[in-house]
Amino acid sequence: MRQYQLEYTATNAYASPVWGAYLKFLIHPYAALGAQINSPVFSINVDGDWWISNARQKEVSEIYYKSTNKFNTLNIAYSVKIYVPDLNPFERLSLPVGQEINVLKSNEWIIDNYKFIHLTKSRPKAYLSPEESANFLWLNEGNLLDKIIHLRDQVHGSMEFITGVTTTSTLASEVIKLRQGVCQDFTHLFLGLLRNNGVAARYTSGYLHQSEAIRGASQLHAWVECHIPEMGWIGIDPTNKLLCDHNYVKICHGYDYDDCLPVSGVVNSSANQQSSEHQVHVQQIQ
Amino acid sequence: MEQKQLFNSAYTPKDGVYDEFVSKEMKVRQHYDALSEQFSQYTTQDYCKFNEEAKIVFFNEGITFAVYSDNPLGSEKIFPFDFIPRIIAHDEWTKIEKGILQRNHAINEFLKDLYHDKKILKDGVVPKELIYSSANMLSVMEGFNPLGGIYNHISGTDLIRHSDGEYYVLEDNVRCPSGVSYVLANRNTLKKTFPKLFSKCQPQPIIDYPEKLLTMLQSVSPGNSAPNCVVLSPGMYNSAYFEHCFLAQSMGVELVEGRDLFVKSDVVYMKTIHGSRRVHVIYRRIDDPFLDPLLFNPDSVLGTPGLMSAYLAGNVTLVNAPGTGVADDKAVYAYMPEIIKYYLGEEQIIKNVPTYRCGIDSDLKYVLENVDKLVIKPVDESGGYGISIGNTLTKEQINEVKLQIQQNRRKYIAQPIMSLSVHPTFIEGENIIESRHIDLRTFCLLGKNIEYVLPGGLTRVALKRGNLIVNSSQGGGSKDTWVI
Repeated sequence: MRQYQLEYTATNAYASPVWGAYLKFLIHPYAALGAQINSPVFSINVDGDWWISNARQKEVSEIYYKSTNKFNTLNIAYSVKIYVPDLNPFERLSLPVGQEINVLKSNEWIIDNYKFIHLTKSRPKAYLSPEESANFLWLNEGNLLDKIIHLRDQVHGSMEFITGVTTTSTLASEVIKLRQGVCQDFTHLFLGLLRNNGVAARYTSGYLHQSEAIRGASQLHAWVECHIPEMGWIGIDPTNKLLCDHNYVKICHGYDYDDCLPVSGVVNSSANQQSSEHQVHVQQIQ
Repeated sequence: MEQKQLFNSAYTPKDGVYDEFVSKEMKVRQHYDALSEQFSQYTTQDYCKFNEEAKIVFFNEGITFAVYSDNPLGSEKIFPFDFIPRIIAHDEWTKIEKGILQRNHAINEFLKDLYHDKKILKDGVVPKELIYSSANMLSVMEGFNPLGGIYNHISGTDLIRHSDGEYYVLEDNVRCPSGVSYVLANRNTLKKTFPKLFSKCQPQPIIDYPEKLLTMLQSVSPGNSAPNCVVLSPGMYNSAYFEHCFLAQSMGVELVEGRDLFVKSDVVYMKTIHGSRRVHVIYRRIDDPFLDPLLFNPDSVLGTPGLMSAYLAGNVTLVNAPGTGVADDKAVYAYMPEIIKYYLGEEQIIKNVPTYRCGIDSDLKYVLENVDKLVIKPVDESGGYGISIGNTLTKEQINEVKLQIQQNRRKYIAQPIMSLSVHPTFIEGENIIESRHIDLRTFCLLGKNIEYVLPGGLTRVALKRGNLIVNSSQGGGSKDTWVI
């Protein structure tokens, strides 16, 4: 059992006054099996109402905020304690290869997972054409997880982690040419490749407990979850070339980044957002 | 044979189409006898007078529709109305009513299944590609149980009568079908024009539709006592704004726009001068993508932020449910006979337009030999894309279509080109009565233990000679529809 103190702070500044804002925050940890989430504190410098909604998915807590006063700058601070059970990602429960292939080929599996298998140009962030993804090798033999790990290592090996070259609207088809980016670029590229190979894969956002040589710890992190017969949804981090363990504290998952925006909403103002800064701090409590 | 003068001029039925009023032998159909008798007494002046009177009523009551255009002076038009009612015989209607209920119950079961276990896809009755390629499949609806188990509370099934005299379903509308206000307005107007004919024919009443609608809305309310129902409109620039106002007013409920509502703690409230008031049921006339900027289109100012999470929390009911559009897709239509059989174990009561699936050998053979007589449609595209109408194609185009079909057989279906029945209609300007093509939009309500089909519906008429398009945006008008 590990205990973490998670902290998320954000500052959004506007050039002229905002008369009303209705915001949604996806920053509260996912109610995963065995996790205990305690004493969340949400504070904001502008008068308003806030509440937690589990309407969309019972494990996901969306924090909603509706301002009742005008403002120029919004400061948000959120903290929570979480107990996470120990997780050894190397404990494998894969089905024998032949059986696994039968499950993966079955109509039932494809229909139940279609949402996260199918590629569509209408969601371009993680879209890659079969031609684009052909440069990455997909193993013909072995268990699904082995094939996925092999692909993950190619993604990791072909990409350079550099901040500032991409934005939140960069597409996988751009990343595959650029070969540079941050965790969400690694994740979108990996998702596009996985889906081209028929794997049910989803975008996952969350907190990452920092240790040396781990990237993406002062921001919210992103990784991939793959659905594997008998094993369920397994977290795989292409940015750090890791299988996810108890250092990964998930917030939510979706088809791509757009389903996991940490802050989204509607703001009534004549001006565009001037600046936006996010900070994340994850501390293990002994 | 005695040639009776039916109207002020010779009325000649068209070849190859079904005439609602007279048989091929020029004999007036029995259910039109009373009308025919009365009309034979009128002169051209009378017809012009009826037409003018109807126009004045429509103008005074503001019965309009809007055509989307850039005209700065506004684009609202008086809805063209033809004063000769369309009459449906009682026996015929009984069958239509049953067929419509059957169809819409099946669509409801279909939607429930698609957003839960997807059995119909797993059993291979409907191909999965067809559903998942639809932009109207809303993943946020998966696993959600709408109150009373109803998705398509209000359905508008479009019917036509083919040259063989049979009714066929042309399309299903289970998003926000419009037009019902015109049905009520037409009846109101015609009652004033032909009071005698009315008492003679006694058409089934439709005046209680708003009451039925309100009862249905209340039946799916999450609150138990005195639910607050509202009509949510995108605003006065919408083509059906007249209808939104009309329905709100006739039900005695508030007409709201997105900005009049707000969400707090997953509960929807409306702003009033007495403070905020909880809303339980929203009859929304806004399309899915505009309902909630937080979930769908972030640039939309029509909806209310947080509305979907209030809905998914079960604190408010949206009518119709979001995500129903997946069921009224053109491609899904082709599978309606199977869908009805799969969920209800019944044969369809009103026919679908016959559909040939090119994946089946015998069907393919027929299609390839008869491309010029068919409409060819791809199954995985909606919104009319990729449709080829056989009798409009050149020889080269036909060969191209054949090649396309053979390359991807499963992708294509084909249907015969249907002809719409005709009905005597007053032609303004020429001041004569001629036959014009008509269709019928029906209105069906499903609630918790409630089912209702409005007797009759909206008969739309193509006012241009030979035109098959009856839509009001294309210069079509409407008629009052009597079930006697």
